Amino acid sequence: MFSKRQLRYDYSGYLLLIPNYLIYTTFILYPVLRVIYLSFAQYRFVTPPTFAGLSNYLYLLESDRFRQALFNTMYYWIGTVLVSMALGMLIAVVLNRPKRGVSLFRSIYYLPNLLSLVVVGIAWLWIYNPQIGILNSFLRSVGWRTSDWLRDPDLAMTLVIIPGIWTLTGFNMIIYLAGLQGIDQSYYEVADIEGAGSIRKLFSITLPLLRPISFFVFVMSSIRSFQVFELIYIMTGGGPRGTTTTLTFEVYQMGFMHYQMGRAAAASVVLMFIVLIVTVTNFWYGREGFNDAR
Amino acid sequence: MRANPRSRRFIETRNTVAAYSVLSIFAIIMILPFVIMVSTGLKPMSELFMVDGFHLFPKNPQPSNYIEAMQSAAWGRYFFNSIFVTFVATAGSLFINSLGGFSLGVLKYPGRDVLFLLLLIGIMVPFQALIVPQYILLRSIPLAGGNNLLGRGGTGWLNTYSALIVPQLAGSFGVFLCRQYFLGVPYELYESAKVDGAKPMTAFMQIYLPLSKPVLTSLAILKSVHVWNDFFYPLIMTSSDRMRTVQLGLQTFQGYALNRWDLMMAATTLVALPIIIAFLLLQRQFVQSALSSGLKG
Repeated sequence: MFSKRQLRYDYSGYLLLIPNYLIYTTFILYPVLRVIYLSFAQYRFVTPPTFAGLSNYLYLLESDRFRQALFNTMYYWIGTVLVSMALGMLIAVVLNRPKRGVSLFRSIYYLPNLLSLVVVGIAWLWIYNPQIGILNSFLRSVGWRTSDWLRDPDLAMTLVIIPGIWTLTGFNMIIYLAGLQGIDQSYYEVADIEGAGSIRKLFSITLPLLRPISFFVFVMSSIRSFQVFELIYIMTGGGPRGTTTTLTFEVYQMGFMHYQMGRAAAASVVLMFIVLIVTVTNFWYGREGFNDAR
Repeated sequence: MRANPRSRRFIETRNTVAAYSVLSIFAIIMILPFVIMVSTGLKPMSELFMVDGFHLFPKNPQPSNYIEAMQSAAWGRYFFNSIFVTFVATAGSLFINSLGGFSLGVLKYPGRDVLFLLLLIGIMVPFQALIVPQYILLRSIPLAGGNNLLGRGGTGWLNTYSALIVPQLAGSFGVFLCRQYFLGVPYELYESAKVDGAKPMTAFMQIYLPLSKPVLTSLAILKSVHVWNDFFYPLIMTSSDRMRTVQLGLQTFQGYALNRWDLMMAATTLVALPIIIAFLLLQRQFVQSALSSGLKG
């Protein structure tokens, strides 16, 4: 039996894998190794890279800009992920009730998630426009102070987070909705017999059973918000005074504005490491969450 | 007779009304930025500056904004680039990824599982983190863009369609998704085909590919939306106007027409339109693709 199996090996399997593996090793696997190598090198394009030990990482460690970028990324991450998860779950729980119109509402909520972040950024830039934007026109009409909000260091990041939430909520809602629809109705029937109210049912049945889904949603939206670039590029250019510079934006600036490829590589490795932690956690603990969602 | 406030029917109705109210309010908030975008694209300049107050919808819609916006730069070219790159990258990756998924999920050969695990690295790495080495790599593709055999002297694949297409083809996630799908297909199907003398490639083309419509639909949606919407990658890999995609094209307004928000919004609407139309036509499939878009096993 065993030898028979051996004879049945399909060696052409290697052949069918070649197109994919060729591109994969060239454009993903090799660059992963290369970016790690470059993070230990000095490379400014003019001359070939030279080994520079930990100097890039030490530079990042001492750089106020980078620390600020790290802080901003965390702020953006917490702001977008927590709010969009709460909203997504709330909408899904409400949307799970009515029978009619579910698909219409679902489509409206999901639409922003499909727009490119450039489109989203431009749309919100216009809403925030200090002279003729809708937000300031409205505030002016009710007698409030208006200003060029995006140039206010205390406000800028929060104003970028809002469109970030706007695009993420629909995605989170869809996953939560699928999770809710997977909950066995008999739990609720038993609760009804025992006379539990809807609030009680929400906290004792729905939320606990959604926990694996929440974990999955958390990981997915975290990965997306760690990589935020377009909103920053379009809306603020990293300013004012660096208050909206994020990790990815910093990689872009160091690498492609200042041609400090070594430093940009080191910042990339930091980004990679952060995302890796989240993804690996997902692989370890998140599997059941997704299988439930289906 | 007054309805008994404690009656079941009353509570049902009250809850339904409450649910629809919450949903409608949220729906208005969610759709508003989008409505503003579309309506601004249709407004004449006088309404933009609110000569007679603010109106959400244009009083005298001016569809010619769309024509003017499209004439303000080489938009025909930008749209061609985006459509071409999206189409080729999607079609190519579907074929290559499903072939890889078939190999890793159905065929048996030594080292297969190691190759699969190695592929998973690609799912865990954020692609922004690879932009520096990828840029260097594309710039030094040998014998392209004036490069010599060692990849020096020219610009390589930078500013070419290859740069926008080829790296998109090897999606680890696509292979992963196809593999999981094929694992669910009874293995006897392949064995009986083999007994009948079918080669693996024949089995793939004639049995597995026709079966994989749902997974390929999800992949096609994820890939095409990603490539169409991508900004970061083409921003780094191209610099000439000739190679701009539609997302990069929107930048042209930030330079020359700082106050022409009407044109900018018209163009932005047109850039978003293909995805929106596809979504309206294929809502169920889009939702399915969202559900399969994670990293799960």
